[in-house]
Amino acid sequence: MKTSGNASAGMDLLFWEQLKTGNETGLRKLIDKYFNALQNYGYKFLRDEDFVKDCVQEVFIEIWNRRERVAVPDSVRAYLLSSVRKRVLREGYRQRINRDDEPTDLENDLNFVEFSPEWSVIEQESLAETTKRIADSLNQLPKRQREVIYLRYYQNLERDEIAEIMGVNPQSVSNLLQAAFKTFRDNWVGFILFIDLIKTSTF
Amino acid sequence: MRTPDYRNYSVDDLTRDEYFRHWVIDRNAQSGAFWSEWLAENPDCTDKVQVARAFLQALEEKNTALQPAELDQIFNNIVQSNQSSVVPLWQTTVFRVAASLLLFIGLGYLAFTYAVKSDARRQADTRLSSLENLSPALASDYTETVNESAEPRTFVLHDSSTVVLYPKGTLRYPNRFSATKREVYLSGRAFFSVKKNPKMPFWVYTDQISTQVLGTSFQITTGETNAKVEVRSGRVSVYMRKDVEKEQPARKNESVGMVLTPNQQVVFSTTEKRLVKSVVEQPITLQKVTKEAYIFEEAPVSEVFSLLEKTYGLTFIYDAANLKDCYLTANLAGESLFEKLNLICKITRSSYEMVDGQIVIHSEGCENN
Repeated sequence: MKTSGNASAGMDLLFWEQLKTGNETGLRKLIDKYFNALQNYGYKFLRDEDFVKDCVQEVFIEIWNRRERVAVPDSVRAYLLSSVRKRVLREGYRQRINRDDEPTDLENDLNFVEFSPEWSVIEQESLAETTKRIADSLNQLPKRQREVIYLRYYQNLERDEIAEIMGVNPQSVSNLLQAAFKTFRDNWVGFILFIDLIKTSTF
Repeated sequence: MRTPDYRNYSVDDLTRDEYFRHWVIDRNAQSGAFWSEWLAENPDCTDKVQVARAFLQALEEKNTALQPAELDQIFNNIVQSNQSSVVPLWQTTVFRVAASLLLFIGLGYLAFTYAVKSDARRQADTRLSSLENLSPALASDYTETVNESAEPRTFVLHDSSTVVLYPKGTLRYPNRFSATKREVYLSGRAFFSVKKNPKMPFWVYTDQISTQVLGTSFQITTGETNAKVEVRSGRVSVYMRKDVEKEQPARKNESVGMVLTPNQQVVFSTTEKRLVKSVVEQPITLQKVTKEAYIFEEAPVSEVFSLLEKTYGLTFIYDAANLKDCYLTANLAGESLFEKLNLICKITRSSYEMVDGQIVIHSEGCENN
């Protein structure tokens, strides 16, 4: 089976049910499984690791403290990602107001960033090169297309999950993804990536 | 494990494959080993794998994964969180008061460490001045690097030896090696893969010990009060620094050094002032052995030991006469060396201990089995 989402999603629901009954194991499993991925997502909106880490932690605190009342989501990972997204945007906004920054273009500030991969290991120069080129072609996409690509490939999500997180309908997700593929054709790296992706993409 | 036919996978399929993601995103060493082996067998798939990997890394940008200990801490915070404390931390009065207090304490601490630091610097200076006596090449025309990042960094030296310097480590190397030997200075942790050149021995000096090799791979870790050398391949000689300083390398053959072979390590402790040889914590296999070779059916136990000797390059000491009636039926594939030993000892009613980097088996014999 190429998409292993189903088995893993089943486990998530099991952990969630455990968590709801106050069983700490369920909470622990979800933290182990998703904390790093959630932090990576939050970091896309605000370049402050400690701040994002606090936000992710608070999302879990809120779930844990309201465990008896929270509903069982269709997709646990989509629910978590969406909660982190909302919190990072909200708290990031609030933090700036408190700091008395110019509040005018806040909305535009807190947006999905441009990709700038970091490098520290020189032994993989060719890999670094390819990564840089791919990042460049991704950065030519409008930010919403960039986010769809990120959620679909890095977070390995299905169309409905992406729609839930970004607050759009599933058809828009497909449209954004198709538009992204179209833009990829413009340069050769994007083109190679595009050819490979489009061959099997199920969207 | 059933392996899917990755040859038919597209970039899209790879990025969604759990095992592939386990390697690229989770940095799992075992998956990493699997993929590099797979790539070696399927070199025509290199581009595809490279694009998929680069794609995920471009999206990731930065590995912000937390250490297990940090996740433990976060888990504890969450479980112990008070029902009502969902107010962001930086907005509370307590936080503001605490922050100003911390600032005050912090300033005091800074002033204090400044005084201490200049003391430490003086100490480091004296250490290095003795390095000057040892190796003029390392004292005049050299490059010194400190790895201040959070990830290991790889350096390639002029002789194409490579050094992986771990975070906080310091490596000093001459801009040109001298004509007779290659010398570097290390503080912290580094893994060396030294290019073989018998005419120019490679020396690694640390504050406590000196290590000499001709061409091998090994890891050195130094701390405040101890130093450790672990050998992956080849032969390595380790000397206490003061011995090298005293005798000068001309007479090194007679000096009190210690010779290490793969999977052995030596630890030097400043308090005891001596070198102690032992087996590394996680011995690795030195040569490929098929899984089938580890399935034993009524095999004499001495045969099992000689296979282990061959795979791990370690010496086993046992009384062959005593063990002549011991036979083993077991599947030892996939276990670590120590797990294998535990199992063998359980079955043959014996025990093992490690003495001087060798494995000694004690047995009462198996006549009644």
